[in-house]
Amino acid sequence: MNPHVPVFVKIDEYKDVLDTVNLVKGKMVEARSLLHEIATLKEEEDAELEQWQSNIDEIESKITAIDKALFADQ
Amino acid sequence: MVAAKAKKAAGQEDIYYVGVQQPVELRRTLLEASRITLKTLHSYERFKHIKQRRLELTGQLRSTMKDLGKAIAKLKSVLPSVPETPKPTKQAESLKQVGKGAKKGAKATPIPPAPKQVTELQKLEREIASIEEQMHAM
Repeated sequence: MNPHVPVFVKIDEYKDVLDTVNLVKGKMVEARSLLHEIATLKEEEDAELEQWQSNIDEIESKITAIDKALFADQ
Repeated sequence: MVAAKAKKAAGQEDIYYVGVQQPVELRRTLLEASRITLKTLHSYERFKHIKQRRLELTGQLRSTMKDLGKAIAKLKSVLPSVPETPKPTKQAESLKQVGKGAKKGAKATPIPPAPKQVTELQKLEREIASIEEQMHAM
């Protein structure tokens, strides 16, 4: 196929092409928007997991303090 | 912490008690640990909800990508077909050579039958390979 040779499209088919291109564009916008929302939710999930990590660290330190207070001198 | 012996009543065994030095502080620490645990459980409910929403959106995205694929295929069909003159790829060349070699001598190895059930993943892989082949041929 020679890329320099022009291609002609019938005028009635051209409308179909335009409609389809618009459809593709619309779907692209939709996909991008969904992906953005998914990424945001993923960030929220990651933030929750980080918070859990911090909570577990805090609980651990408190339990260690309790353990020390109860059994340190034994 | 101090251990203390209680006064022994008649006929009873020795009872020992352990003294807790800062009982209020200890109780406070315990309550705080409990509060954090509950907060984590509360956070889990929120996490579950977020994850559920993300899964729903992922399903929607999958559906949108399928629609997009269909729309692109439609665009391909609507555009005029142009006669293609694909360049011979290396793979095709090597296949030709194998074919020549087979005529001369050794027995042709039987081609394994194609699997009947094609998974969605295999289908997509084939489509990708086909598109890449077309792109290389351009």
